[in-house]
Amino acid sequence: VSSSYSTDDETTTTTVSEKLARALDAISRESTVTYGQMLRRLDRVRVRIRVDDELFDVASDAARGLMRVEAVDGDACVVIETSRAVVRNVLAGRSTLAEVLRSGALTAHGTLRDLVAVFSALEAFVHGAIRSRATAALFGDFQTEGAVG
Amino acid sequence: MSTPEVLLDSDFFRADARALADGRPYKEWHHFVVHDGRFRLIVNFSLTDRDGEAVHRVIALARHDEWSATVDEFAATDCMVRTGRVVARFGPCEFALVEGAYDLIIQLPAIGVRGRVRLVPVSIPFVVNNQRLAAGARISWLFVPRLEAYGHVWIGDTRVSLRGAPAYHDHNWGRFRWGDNFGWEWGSVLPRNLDDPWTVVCQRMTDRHRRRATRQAMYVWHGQEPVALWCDAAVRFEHQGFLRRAPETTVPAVMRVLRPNTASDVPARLTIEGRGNDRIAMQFEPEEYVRIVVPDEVDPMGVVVLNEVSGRITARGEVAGRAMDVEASGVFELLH
Repeated sequence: VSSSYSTDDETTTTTVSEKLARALDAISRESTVTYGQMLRRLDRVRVRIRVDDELFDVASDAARGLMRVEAVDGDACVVIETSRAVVRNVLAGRSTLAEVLRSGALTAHGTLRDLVAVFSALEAFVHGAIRSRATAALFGDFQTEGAVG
Repeated sequence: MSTPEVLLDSDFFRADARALADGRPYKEWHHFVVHDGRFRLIVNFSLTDRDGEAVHRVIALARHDEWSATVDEFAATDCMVRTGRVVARFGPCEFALVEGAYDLIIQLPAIGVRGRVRLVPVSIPFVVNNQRLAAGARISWLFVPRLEAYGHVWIGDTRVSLRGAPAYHDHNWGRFRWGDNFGWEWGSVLPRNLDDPWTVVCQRMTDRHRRRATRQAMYVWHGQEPVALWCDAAVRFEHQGFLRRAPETTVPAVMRVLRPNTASDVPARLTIEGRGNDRIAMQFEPEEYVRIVVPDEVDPMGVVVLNEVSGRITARGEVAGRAMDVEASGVFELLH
């Protein structure tokens, strides 16, 4: 998984996958209960995420207490496609998840059971993020890194 | 004791390094509200504990044409709080009690709000110490029911000039966690007509689900003097219907992921009555609200919602031998 890329204005921006990896690491240290909830909810549901040109997987294993960002490998249970601007707008509250799903700005494919697991884990992720000082800083950086698309 | 002396003696920061690091929850904030026609400014300097460290936040809500709101957190190295004094700086925002009035400076580029306001108390403050909120949870508060605000506030490119605008201040401190078994309703009632001498403050503490009130009161001032107080069984709060309106905004923004819906339990009308030799019947009709969402500190998968509600008030009755008939502006905080 690459760690950065250049945008049109030549500024170097951390990839979403790296920000997500840092956020997961911070939540595992600073909000252990919600991290446990994320693991239980997403256990062994491999999620493939495309954000603009980035493509990566999120893999979780509750028994080992691990959720991490990985390079794409094999089949995924759920495939999510969206853009950096949409992620930013949802985290900033300018759009709701329901709105971007309805508009097609974010698509998610998988079985109903796996989709429910992913969105349930996402809720736990946000609960963890708001209780983690390091993740709050990451959110802040993400919001201010460039013009809102 | 004069009002400036009372404020110097009682409105000081209680927080010190030990209070924030002794393993028990600690919260303290200074809260300022300016009502001026349609303009509203609510600024809260909040100091709370998190894992033994102080967290400094400025929560600001401003309405000119529409609401802007933010919750800005500042690094401790950018903040200064003087224990035992009425002075604090949180990043670029600060306030201090200077010669009997509060000097408030706000700079919040996230929402394009900045300003310099002097808040002059025109009513005698009131202090309540160490009230029980829930098991093991206590809160104290001081409030100045009426102040006059002078200065300027910029919202974007629009300058709002304040020339004696009615305002309210309170200061809360205590040991409790968001999510403990309590709820509250606080109301600041300031007349639309600046010459009107009546000022009302009301508060009700309940359990989390509002099945039981643990403490409630309504306070009335005439001019600078407190003239009536109803407590507990002498005062009645009644909610009627639901406002059925989405919040103007929700802050912090990320909380809209967890609370994207428009459902709320803000009432369509809140009636508060004080009964006895003095009597007052007050109706608050909420018009709009901003939702502040904070992480529940008891349930790691929960949140606590504070609705900052603005609306119209009518209050009628007879207090201290005087007829009361007031059209007012109300700002209520409903924590449910």
